[in-house]
This record gives sequence, C-alpha cells and structure tokens, in this order.
Amino acid sequence: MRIPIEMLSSKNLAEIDACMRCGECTKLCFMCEMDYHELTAPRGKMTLLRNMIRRQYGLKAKIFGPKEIDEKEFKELMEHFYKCTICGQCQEVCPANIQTRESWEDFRHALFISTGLAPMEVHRPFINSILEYNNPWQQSPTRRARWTRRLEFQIKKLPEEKAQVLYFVGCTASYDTNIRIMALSTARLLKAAGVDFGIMGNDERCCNSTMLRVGLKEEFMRKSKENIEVLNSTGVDIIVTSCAGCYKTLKHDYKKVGTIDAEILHSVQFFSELIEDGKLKPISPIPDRVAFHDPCHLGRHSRVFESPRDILTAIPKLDLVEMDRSRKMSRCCGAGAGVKSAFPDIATRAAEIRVSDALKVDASLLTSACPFCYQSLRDASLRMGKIEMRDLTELLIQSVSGTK
Amino acid sequence: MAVDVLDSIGVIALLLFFFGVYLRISIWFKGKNTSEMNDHSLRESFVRALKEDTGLILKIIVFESLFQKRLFSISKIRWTGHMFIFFGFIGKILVHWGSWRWSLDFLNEIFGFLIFVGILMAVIRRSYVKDRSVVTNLEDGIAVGFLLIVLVSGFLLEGLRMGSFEPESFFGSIIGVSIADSLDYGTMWFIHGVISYAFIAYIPYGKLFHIIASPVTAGWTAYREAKEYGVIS
Repeated sequence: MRIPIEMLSSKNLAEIDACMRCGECTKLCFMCEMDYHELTAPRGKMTLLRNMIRRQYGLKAKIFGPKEIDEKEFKELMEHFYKCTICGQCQEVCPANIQTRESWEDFRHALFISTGLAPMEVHRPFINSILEYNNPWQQSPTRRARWTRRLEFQIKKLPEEKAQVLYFVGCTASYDTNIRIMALSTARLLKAAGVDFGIMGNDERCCNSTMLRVGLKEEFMRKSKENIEVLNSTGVDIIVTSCAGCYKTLKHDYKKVGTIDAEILHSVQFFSELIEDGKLKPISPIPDRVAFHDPCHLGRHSRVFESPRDILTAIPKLDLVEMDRSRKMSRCCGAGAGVKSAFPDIATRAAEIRVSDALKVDASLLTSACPFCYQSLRDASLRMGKIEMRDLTELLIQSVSGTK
Repeated sequence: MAVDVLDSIGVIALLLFFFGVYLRISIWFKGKNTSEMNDHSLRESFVRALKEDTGLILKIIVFESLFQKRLFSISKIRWTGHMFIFFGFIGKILVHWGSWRWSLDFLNEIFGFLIFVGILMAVIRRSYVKDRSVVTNLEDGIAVGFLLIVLVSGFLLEGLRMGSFEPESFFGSIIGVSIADSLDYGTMWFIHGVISYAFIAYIPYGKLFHIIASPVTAGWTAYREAKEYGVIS
C-alpha cells in the first residue's frame, strides 16, 4: 500500500523528520509505562513512519521506484497510533516541540481514516450515535435534560429564552447517572452566584470531540459547523462548560471550523472569578487532604492550571496537596481518545496508577474537573478503597451551601 | 594541487548537502493539508506571520531554535552538552570564515574543547544511562562518531601545526610531535578537510538532519501556540 502523505500537513511531515529519538517522551508516556513496546513510544511511531515515508518518497524510491508498505506492518502501526490517549505529555518534554497534541489526531485522520482502515470497530457505535443522536452514549436526545428534574429550581431554556450565560452541560454529565452530580453542582453554583444562565436542554448537541480524537476530521468539521450556528443562535456572552473535553473542543478546536461569538470558559475558570469577585463564598470547611488531578484537555491542552487550585485553596480548612506528577507533568487517567473503549484493561490500570499517585501523598479525596476523568478515577478509587473521588464542583457547592 | 582537489571535494560535498536537504524538505511540501492554517497556503501564512509578528518570531528564533529553551527546561545536563556541541561548531564556522589568524589559534581551541566535552557527555550518557528511553542504534553511533572523527582529526592537525612551529605551546603539540614522523602537516590537513566535508555532506542523510528539522518545528509550534494561548508554552 501507499502512504497518503498528501493528506498530512507540511508541519506534520517536518515533525516526522524533527524527532531525533532522544527518548524524553518515552520516559514519561504513561502508556509506555504500562505496556512498553517501541511502537507505543511516540519516538517509535515517528521513526517507523519516517522509514516508511523514505521507502516510498526517499532517494532510493526516486531512483528504483517506491517500495510497497506491507499492510500488516501498517495495521500494526495503526494499533499503536490508537493505543494513545493523546494526553500530550510527549509534547511537553519534546525538545523539538513536536506538536503531538494536534499531530496524533492529524496522523490518525491522514493515515488511517483516509485509507479506510479506521475508525476501529469498537469506535463505530460511538460515532454513529453522535451522527444520529448527537451524543456518543446511544441515548435519546429527548432524555438529555432529564438531570434537571433533580434540581430544586427551574433553568431557562435557550435559545427560546434569553440569558447572559449558557451552561454547556456536555453528553457525559447529561446522561451518565453517576456523573449527573457534576451538572447538578454546576447549575446550583451558577444559581448560588446569581448568574443569569440557561441551558439548551434537549437541543444541546455533542461537541463532537470524540470524532476529532479518533481522526474523523471531515465529520467533525461538518457537525461542528452546525453546532457553532446553534450555539450562536443563543446570543449569550459567555459559554461555560464543566467538561474538560468540551472546553478544549469549543475553545480551541472550533476555531478551525468557525467563530463562536461568545467567550468560552471552563467552569473552574468561571467559578474562580466569581469567588474572587465575592459572588461565590465558600464558607463551610472541608477538612480533607485533597489531591487535584489535572485533566489533560484542561491542563496541558488548554493551559488552565491555576483556576482549579485557586478554588480549592479558597475552601476553608481544605488541605490541597500536589501529587508527584501534576500540572504539565500530570499523569493521564487513561480514558481519552478512544482508549477506554478500545483497550479497557489499559485504561483501568492507568486509572489505578493515578489513584495510587494520590494515595502516595496521603490524600483522602481526589478531585478533578472532567467527567471522563471522574468516571475512570471514581471506578478505580471505589475498587481500591481508602480514597474518595469527587468532582471539584461537588466540593465547591458543599462549601458554598454547607450541605453535602 | 592538494588545495584544488580539496576544493573540488568541498564543492561535491556542498552539492550533496544541498541535494539531501532538498530531497528531505521536498517531502514536507508534499503535505497538502492546510486545515490548521484555515486553508491559507503555507507561503501565505508564512509571509503574513513574518509581517505581523516580526518581534515574536525573532524571539522564538533566538530562544526556542538557537538557545533551545525547551531542552534547557527538560534537562540542564543534556542542554549543556548540546550547547557545547552546537555553539562549538557555530563558533568554529565563524572563526574559519573570519579567518583571523589569532582567533584560529585561541578561539578555535576553546570551541574544539567545548565540542569535545559535549561529545564526551553524550557518549557517557549513552553508555551509562541504562534506561529504555536511551537507545543507541547505528544512526546515533554514526552521528556521534562522525563528530568525534572531525574533532580528533582537527586536534591532530592543530597539534602538528603547533608542533612544527612552537613545540611547548599546546597539549596538542605533544601529540603533534609524536605523530609527526608518520604524518606531515599537509597530509593531515587534507585528511581533516576530507573528513569535514564528508561530515557536511552526510548531515541531511542521517540523524544529523535534526540540525535543520528540529529548530523548524520548535519554532513553528512555539509560534502557533503563542498565537493560541498568548504565551509560549
């Protein structure tokens, strides 16, 4: 088979040449830590890809003709490209600043989606569900706003009603009964701060992050274009989301598709501002030793490191403790970019390793700001005991309202 | 005669160098996906960036590409060794081009010494760090070995030169005197010249191509992310 390098960008191709196999990425890649194979390592993928491209486009190929790439070898490479949560740790330590946070998605799209080898079978149900129901969880769109029934107040429904702030709930917090608490806590906090806000209810659509992460760029562009129009129809000034994945997608990835008229904020950014302005007052103490897990899409991908810590330090008696690897060096929970569905064992072990990080610093509570991290780390902490996983919004509403 | 031959070798080496660079960079331009540039062509984006963000780009070239800020933050030791080799060679190139005789004597040796220390650090790291992240294969061996051969042949040449004029001035002169029986200055000069030209010609064909590709991506990503996040991350 032929490698469709025209589907890549010039930058992608320069990056393949820029990797000098120094191995800094290999040292810190959590996937290598658990399931080491030279091709799991970012540098291994780059090296093999460079060799393949040279076989087809290098000097020898020019003189003697390109060599065929063995499909089996290419499929093996594909498996390793998908055995990656695109957590972005490798970019953080790459001396050549290879922009893996973006390039891994570009490679998935150009090399495997465009050749028809991907998406992987296990990812198809999620993708079809987004295409059909606007959520990856194969749930009916008419049930999206069900979580609001547990609220003790009414929320405005946009765009029929008008508000200053749109709370973009996201699919996972909307549908997963274990995670609805994130949506509930966020809505309660917005209400407590007196924010004029609303939700799109059953008309909210998936941010399409899943599609982009697995490499379905064209579908992502098409669906997201529609979504931008829907979001702009609300006429809000600010869009707040409590999901790190939705935040990264709306804030950074949508720029490649169009323009959202509103400012995009993650709930931790919005709430830390509200605390600073005195509109949210965390008064009840939470006397626990708390470790904060930086979600990859919020931290490394969006450079939001301080806001969640500002919130936690504002809670009386809360003892914020940093894990050995945090902020830019945060270890991934192991769930993202299709890994949890394609390689569930790896995702499970990765989450347990992350919970162990928290146990090592004697934390009694582990917290984060992403429903996907929450799902994985909560399951792992329930299995392991000794530590409880709670979303940051849960802790904040507990401190603000004085109830657990 | 030897000068003419070496000049011809030099021309061939440079042709091979530029041909190699052309071959590799022409592959970059086969990539047609411009979605990350919002469908502007590469040239359009480049020209616009140069016009709009001259200051930022200069800053990126100096800190990210030349002084390799990222490597500094990753490992001070690796950065030091790498800087010794990188600026050692830059210094040597400047000294050779400037061809100030006094500077050849003094600065050339300083830069040579720095490169030597840098290579030594690389060899020690690769020999003693027993970690799967540090893998040395043939390509790495050739790169480090080539650097070392260029350097050692240069030291010998310098030793011979000094040995023949002022025998006590330099450590190299002792080596120079000791090998003077088997090698004369002219031969060594020719050997060093051929090795150095071969080194230049080899750059685009192996690991050393990162000298060109890595500063490009380091700067390119830094620019894109500076525009996205407002800071160079």
